[in-house]
Amino acid sequence: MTPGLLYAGAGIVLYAAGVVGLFLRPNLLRKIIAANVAGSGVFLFLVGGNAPAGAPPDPVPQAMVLTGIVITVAVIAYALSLLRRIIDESGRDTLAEDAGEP
Amino acid sequence: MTSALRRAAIAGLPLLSLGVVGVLLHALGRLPPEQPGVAPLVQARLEAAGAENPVTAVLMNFRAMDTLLEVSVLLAAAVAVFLLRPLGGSSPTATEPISLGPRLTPMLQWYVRRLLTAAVLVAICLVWAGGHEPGGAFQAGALLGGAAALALLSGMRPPRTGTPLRLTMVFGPAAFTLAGLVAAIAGRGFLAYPQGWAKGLIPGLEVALAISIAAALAELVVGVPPRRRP
Repeated sequence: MTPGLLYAGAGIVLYAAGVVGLFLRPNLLRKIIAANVAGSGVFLFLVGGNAPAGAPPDPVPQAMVLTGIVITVAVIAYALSLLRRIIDESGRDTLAEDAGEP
Repeated sequence: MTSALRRAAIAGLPLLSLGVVGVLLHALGRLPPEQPGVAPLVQARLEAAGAENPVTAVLMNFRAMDTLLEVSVLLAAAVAVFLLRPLGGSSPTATEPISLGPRLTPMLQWYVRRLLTAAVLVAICLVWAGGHEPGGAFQAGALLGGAAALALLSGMRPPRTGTPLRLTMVFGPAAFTLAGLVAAIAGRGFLAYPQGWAKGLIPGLEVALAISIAAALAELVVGVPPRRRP
């Protein structure tokens, strides 16, 4: 069990937690945060799963994660702007079909 | 969906998810150990790549197409946020400060001004470091974007989202595309720099990309302006 595998395992758990949150939480802000958590889990898995003990890490996953983080920030920022418009227009922070859920 | 089915799905999803976690963790334990990956390949060709840092070499040379598309996604997100601006009812530009607390405390002004100066210096240092150690355009751009968020939250007015900001956002991707086209005309294919060009090109492209990434992130932080209260 190398530290890299430990990080990759934590990434899997984060990813699953994020997906569950994405589906089960009606509140859109929570959905956005859940998507972000799931994405972070993927990055953790990519970097942790490619970190052999004692050897230099593989630069390709590192570069992919580096660009992926910037894309995540961009997508989350766009989602938040969209949420703000939804709240402005409808006065609600849930989608119509989820309105009755807790 | 009937409500009983819906309730079953809500109850079942965490269980299903736990099962998937179990399967993936099991698979993780059975991965073939110690794959060298492409690290030796990158190391062997680092000399020709124009950057001593392997991650920078991958980003700016070996997989430059990925990087170009990635900054394009960032640009597309910033343009999409422009498109979300409400018509008519909103303030014409995001001219309202987006800070929450009192804007003018002496401590905040003193501190933020110095912190912003430091952030710009560290960003320049990061771009420069990218060639030979961890650092580069993305880290510097993210730092500058964070500095912009700090400035906005401490009461500075958001930048006018006019032509100068838009040109700044396009500058990096445009320079990158141009470099790729020049390389294609010089005969080696899109973004395949001719021998010996990379060393000179990559630092310049990194500076251009860092500036554009910072501008796009700042625009994303501003987001859509609040609807003007009637």
